[in-house]
Amino acid sequence: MHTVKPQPDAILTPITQALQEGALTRRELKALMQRSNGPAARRLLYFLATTLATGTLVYLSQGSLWQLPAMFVHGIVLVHFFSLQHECIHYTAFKTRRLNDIVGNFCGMVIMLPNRFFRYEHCDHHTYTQLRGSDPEMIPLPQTVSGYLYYLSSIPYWKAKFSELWRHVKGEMTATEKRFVPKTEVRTLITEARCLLAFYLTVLLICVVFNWWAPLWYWWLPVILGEPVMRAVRMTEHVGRPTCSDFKVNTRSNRVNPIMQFLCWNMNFHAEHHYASSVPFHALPALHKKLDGYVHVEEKGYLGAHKDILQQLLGFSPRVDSGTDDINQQRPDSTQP
Amino acid sequence: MSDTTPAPSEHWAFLIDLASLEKNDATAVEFNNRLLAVFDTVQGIFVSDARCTHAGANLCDGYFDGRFIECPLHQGLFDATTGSAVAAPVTRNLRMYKHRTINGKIQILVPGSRGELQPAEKPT
Repeated sequence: MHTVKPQPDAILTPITQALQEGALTRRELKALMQRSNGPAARRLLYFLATTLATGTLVYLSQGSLWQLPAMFVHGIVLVHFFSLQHECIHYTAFKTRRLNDIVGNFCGMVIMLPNRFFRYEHCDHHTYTQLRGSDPEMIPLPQTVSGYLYYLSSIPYWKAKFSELWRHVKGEMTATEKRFVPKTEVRTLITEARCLLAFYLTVLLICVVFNWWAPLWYWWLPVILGEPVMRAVRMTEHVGRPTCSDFKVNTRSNRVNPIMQFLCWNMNFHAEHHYASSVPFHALPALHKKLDGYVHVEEKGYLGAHKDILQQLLGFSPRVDSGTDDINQQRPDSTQP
Repeated sequence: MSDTTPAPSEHWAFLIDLASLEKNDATAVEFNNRLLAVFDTVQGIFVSDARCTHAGANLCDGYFDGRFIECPLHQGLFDATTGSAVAAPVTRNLRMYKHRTINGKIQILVPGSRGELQPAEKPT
């Protein structure tokens, strides 16, 4: 035997842990990871048809009392472009990286989420899921019901997104962002933000010059109206779950109805996704069966998850963040308490 | 990268039987407390470090298409035949190792004196 230095940066990923614990075999995992364009192309077709249908509802309801509800329904569909974008930034929606990038950028344009930046931020979310001060996407368990409602209003979300976009347009990045953005990619992300802002300003200019306000009624207002639904969905993934690095407990999968599962591209199987983020959306139901009993599943779906969150807020059950369970599990370079 | 004549202080050490490899996939092999990846690529066998240079995940658990290996944690991408970092967040290349196949056994080149594995080329 020879003396060699151990690899210093080795970490145990959730999928390696699941393999070691026999939750699934390598052969099963590799079969689930296979990529193809067919499932995503078909679902995208249905998804765009749904978008067209809800957009038609907005058109038909113009000037009536039904216009606002129609825009809300249309907005619910539009904000779920996030789910497809999420799949694309993992490069699992389509077979080729180029196609994932093209579709991901389109989705990001719809919901004002720069695709490349989201990818890097989301990478850190997968590394430090639910670890306070380290997970850049962590939604803290609100302290009060009013805080819960304020988050659902999407006001803090939009404030964060607009300031983030403007910051990148100016060529600035926060210390947190510098942690997860590769230095070689900083210029790309700044250019990405500038292109996105330029695109929105161009559309706005066209609206003003031609007095053509379709983007407002069919796109921007519906997205604003629908975003609280996406905030509610995003809360169900981790909020109210233990703030620790154990993926058996820190992430919640939700059993939801077929409509919501269609809209969210199977991402209700969120714990399964965190275990094996290289598994495409269309294989998540199969992975869910493999990991049955291994991950936390909320049988009552999104409503059950929010009931769990509210019970913690109202003191009917202990808050998961009342202890200090994640204090020793923060990233080495974390500067936050 | 194979059948390199070793320097006087080097020797070839057994790594794994060819028949034990995951066909058309990546196989993790522990060698001298170091986790290596043996790739059965469309261009033949290649050996590299198994740990992703970004966050240390075991690349052998990632998606492999016969040439490119994708990190299972962040989907960073490496060319398994050269070790090149192809897509961020990976930016540092994988270290590749000199190897050869003799009578169905894969061997890698190990220096005799220090025991450090011999890279096939200096990573950049």
